[in-house]
Amino acid sequence: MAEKACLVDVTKCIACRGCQIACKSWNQLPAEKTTFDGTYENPPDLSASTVTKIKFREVAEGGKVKWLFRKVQCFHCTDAGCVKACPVPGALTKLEDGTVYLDQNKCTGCKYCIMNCPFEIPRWDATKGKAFKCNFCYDRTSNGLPPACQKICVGGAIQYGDRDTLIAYAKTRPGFLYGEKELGGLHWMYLLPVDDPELYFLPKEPKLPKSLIVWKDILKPIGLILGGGSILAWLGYHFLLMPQKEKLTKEAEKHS
Amino acid sequence: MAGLGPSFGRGAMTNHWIDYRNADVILVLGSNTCENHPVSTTWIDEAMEKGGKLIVVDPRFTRTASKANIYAPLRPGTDIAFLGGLINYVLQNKLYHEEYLMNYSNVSFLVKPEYSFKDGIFSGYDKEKRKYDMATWGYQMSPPGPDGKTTPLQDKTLKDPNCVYQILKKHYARYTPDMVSKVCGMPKESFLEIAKVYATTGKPGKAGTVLYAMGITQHSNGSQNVRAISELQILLGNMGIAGGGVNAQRGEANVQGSTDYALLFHLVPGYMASPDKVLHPILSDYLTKETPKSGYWVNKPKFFVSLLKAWWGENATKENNFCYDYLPKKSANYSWIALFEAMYAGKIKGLSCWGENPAVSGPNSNLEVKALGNLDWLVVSDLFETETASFWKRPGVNPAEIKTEVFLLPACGSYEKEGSITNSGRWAQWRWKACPAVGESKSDLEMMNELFEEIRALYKKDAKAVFPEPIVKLNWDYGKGEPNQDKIVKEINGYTIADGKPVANFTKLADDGSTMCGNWIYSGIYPEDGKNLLKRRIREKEGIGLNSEWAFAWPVNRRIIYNRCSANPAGQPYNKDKWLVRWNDTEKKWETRDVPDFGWKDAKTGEMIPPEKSAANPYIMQPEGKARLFTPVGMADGPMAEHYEPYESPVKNLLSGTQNDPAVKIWAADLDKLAPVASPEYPIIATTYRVVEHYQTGTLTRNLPWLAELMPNLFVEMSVELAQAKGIKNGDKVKVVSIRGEVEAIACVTPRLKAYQLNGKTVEVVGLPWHWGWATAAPGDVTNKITPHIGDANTMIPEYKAFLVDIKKEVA
Amino acid sequence: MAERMIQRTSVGQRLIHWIHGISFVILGLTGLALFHKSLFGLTAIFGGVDSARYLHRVFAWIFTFNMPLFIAVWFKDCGIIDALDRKWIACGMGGYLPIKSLYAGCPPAGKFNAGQKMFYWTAVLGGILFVVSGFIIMNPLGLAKQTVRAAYILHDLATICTVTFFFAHLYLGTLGAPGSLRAIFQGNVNEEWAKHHHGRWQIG
Repeated sequence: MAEKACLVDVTKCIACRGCQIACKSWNQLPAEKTTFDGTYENPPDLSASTVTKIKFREVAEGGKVKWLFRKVQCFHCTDAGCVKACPVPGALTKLEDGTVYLDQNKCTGCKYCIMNCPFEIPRWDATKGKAFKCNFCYDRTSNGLPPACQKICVGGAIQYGDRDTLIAYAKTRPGFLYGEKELGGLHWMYLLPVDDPELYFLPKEPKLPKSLIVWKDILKPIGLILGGGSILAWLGYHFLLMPQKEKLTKEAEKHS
Repeated sequence: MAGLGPSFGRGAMTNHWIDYRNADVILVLGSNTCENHPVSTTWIDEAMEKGGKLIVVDPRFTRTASKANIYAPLRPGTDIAFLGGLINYVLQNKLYHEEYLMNYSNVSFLVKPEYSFKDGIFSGYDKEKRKYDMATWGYQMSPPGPDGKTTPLQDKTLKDPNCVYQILKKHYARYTPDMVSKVCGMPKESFLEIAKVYATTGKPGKAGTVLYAMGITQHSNGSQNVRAISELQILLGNMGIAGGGVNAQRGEANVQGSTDYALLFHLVPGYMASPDKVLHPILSDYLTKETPKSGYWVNKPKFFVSLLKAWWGENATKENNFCYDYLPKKSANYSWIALFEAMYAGKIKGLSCWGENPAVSGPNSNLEVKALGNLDWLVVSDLFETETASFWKRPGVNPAEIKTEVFLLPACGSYEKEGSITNSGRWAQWRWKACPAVGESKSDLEMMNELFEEIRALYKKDAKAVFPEPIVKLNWDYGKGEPNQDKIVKEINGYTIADGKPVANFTKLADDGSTMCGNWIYSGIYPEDGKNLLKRRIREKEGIGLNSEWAFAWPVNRRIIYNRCSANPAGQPYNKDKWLVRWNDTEKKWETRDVPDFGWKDAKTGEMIPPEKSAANPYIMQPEGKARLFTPVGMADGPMAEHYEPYESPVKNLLSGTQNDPAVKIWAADLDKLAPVASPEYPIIATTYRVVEHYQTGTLTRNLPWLAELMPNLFVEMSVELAQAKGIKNGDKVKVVSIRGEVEAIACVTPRLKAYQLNGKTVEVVGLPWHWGWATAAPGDVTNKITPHIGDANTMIPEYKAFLVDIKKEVA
Repeated sequence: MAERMIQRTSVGQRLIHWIHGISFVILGLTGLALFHKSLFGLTAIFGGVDSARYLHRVFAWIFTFNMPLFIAVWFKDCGIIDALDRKWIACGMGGYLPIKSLYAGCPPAGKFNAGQKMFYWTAVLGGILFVVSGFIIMNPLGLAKQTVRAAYILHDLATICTVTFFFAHLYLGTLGAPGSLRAIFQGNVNEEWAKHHHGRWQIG
């Protein structure tokens, strides 16, 4: 199966936030009680009931103003920190089409994914005791439909399709592609007008936390070897060395 | 819209939404199209993909501006100064489309020598009545020919000082780039950049479109704003072509439909005047006075009589003047402000509000809400309890002191009923019912039907009823409950009475009572029994986006009106790729993509009419057949657009000694207050607007938690400098105060707003959306408490967009 | 002839040992279930991952409150590693590494040998690490991500050390030294056993 992805042309986004509503509508996520606190941006942050939102930034320089918008949601990384961190088989899975799927039924609420996402995406729901994030509308995409946010986008800012095709298309466009190589390749990629991802709230070179690699790729295997090895070692000891030890100490006792 | 009719003949968007993609330059002026008409973004985007340029001119840097190639600020209420500047730039630099101008506009027509313009006043002004006598604005006419006809005189050399070209040039010579900058507060370089880019569309084959909305119309000279756009577009030859036009974007999904069907006091369906007590006491008066001598409107009697037949059916006969006498004749102005002034004065006893929420949407809301308390009864039909329905228990009043009896009828939502809407692009589209109505709610149509049947029954029963005939004899028989809509659509289309067969279109209507038609401009939507073209859903596979088999566009399914002008007089298209109609000179026939908006084929013989003939009168609705740079009739406040200051302005008019539009009616109730020019108490300009997250008065959207989450509270946008001067921080609670009232809002301090430099004076601007009220879970103050009761000279549309305020930090 | 039995542990020591031990084992089993996906099957013992995690958190509290007591009651016996203990270690862990050349002249172990004392310290230090990192992991929201991520590593480090050592303890307390189990169940051992394993123990 070809890998699917979304490509967001940030210059085309008008921040109408139809995507935020379409997401809540399709996924039946509740509204949040918000207040206007000086910016159009609302809700103020991602949450268990807001798994996608538009971030706003006003830039004033040299008498000119720019108003920048960037859609935030799970990036569905190829090398996904959350998948690596998750201890429960099947709770966070990398699917064939590139979706990083968080199965709410299996999630046990350990928050490892929240702590290890390089983009700080998953959010905690205290009442449900589970992590939440965008699942790429897998119930739609697996039935041949685009994600709800893409479907509603009037500005043509979001495109959905085969990842390779989108990358090829992006390379014909002016601007900078974010997400082709990052973390083994993201499945939400961004076409930026300037080579400054941080301006659009994107980390410049996103990397998995080093601690995650130490933890998962070094410590855990060593632990398994040592733990399992310990059992075997003592069994071996009992039959091979213990008799010798007994002999040694008995002899010593005799001498004394 | 009132500026479009006199300019071109019809009061509607000339092109359509999808056609934006054909533009080379898009000028968005007085519109925040991406926010308030988000679907337009799709087509703007397509134009930009093909290299098209987007120019956004707005008092605020909006989300639309965020997409623009060029953005420039403009002080609210100075659109004509800006557009006049563009007109002057085009004329001075000869960047107009000369062939187009000479053939398709009245540029060479001679205006009466008595016409004059002095210090902001056109000839014929009556200071006492605040009205113009338009007689001196007429054309010089030829002596009557052998057939008794006279035609306007022209000077094709354009040298005659009385020709429209010379008048126009002289009129706009004052609108220099420096003047534009001083009046509009727009940097001169920005203006020149815009002028340069937009004027490129004057080249034959290039298309520039102007998208506008309430930022243009909601001014005391809103109709003249539209006129100024029209003048510019005529000069550049941008009318009647793909990707061009003057595109009025309506504020709701069906505003175009509602005006087409005359939800306006001064019209009856199909843009015919409503009968006037003095002008048209009897039918013959109406028909003679309202029917011009030339142009397509010569057919008006056919449309009007067919309308009377639709209303009173077999009761309407030639002998009784087709029941013309049953029609109420207007004797006053019944526009919004006038009605509320009358209500405030206690002259109106009852009000029925269907899908309206005046307590939030009406200007000078303190006055209007008080006016509601003078009513005996008020009927509100809506999905939720609106502020209007709950005006008697609004914050700060004692319900016991309000005597008005309020009835709230539960209406169902648009997805719970069937029917048609007409979008801004004149596309009439059917909407099907998606789900059953909730609870006891009913469709407006069903409520109206039941209400009418009930009223008719009462009239029939009551022997002493006064003048029962108009009601009792009305041709209204649509069944019980939810009306039979097929029957209604057929009636709108019109049919021949003898055989009951639908007419093909309005060319088949007659003035002898043999046909009936509910709205002539929609004739053609139901050409055969059972065939409702509004239900068509065939997408265009190739072409330029006309989608001619999708629904129906009035008139006669024309997608781009005045399309004769897309080709030169010889019938050769100016743009070979985006052609609409073209004359095949070898085969001597017209080839058409769109339905031709001109005489192209003889209706009787079927023979093709050569292009030269239609080139003479491409604007078929106009008596002279031309687009009007100068309107001899039709505009109450002048034949050409002239800048006047908003009624509340921080500065004196720099362009003339006449401060305000002289034909505007001034109201004088105790709550009708206006701040004086350059008022020190109210030094800041305020403008109101909508945001994409909410719909109109917010009744629908504030009740949707998802949308309330996005935009929870009323806010006021202001510049960083203003906030600093007033000690206001982002997110602070502030009070915005006008001479009429005050509102509480949350400060949104942003670099997107900047003070204007007006001839050396620095003037700040603040902006407030107006979607809030007290009735919902996400409440907020009513912005319209601070807006003025001043209406456009032609349409009476209130001046919501430019008034004066002060702003204060609220002390907790 | 009846064996002479010598009191080796107090009731308090035994009680606290077992509170510590049982909670350690339950914490271990529930924790190891999430240590690695290959061990996830352990959750079945507890009726699923959610109940396993629930138990882990309940026993975390028991473990934590028991920890100071554990340190205290065992400190006198196991907390001090003296010079002879070090020598004992140098002699191939008192002969547990049966290398004749090293073993020569090995001092006998005291009441508790240096290996047991080392295990005490592993349990103490590992336990403190468990508690501190565990509570960070339990309530990570609002903490610096680096802190939480460090806690994951420390918790695992503690697991690896204590679990690995735990198997030694399990073996030496049972198969490895028959007769030891009495010490932690009944609290006494027979004199022979004591002399053999803890020659330096001054039996009072």
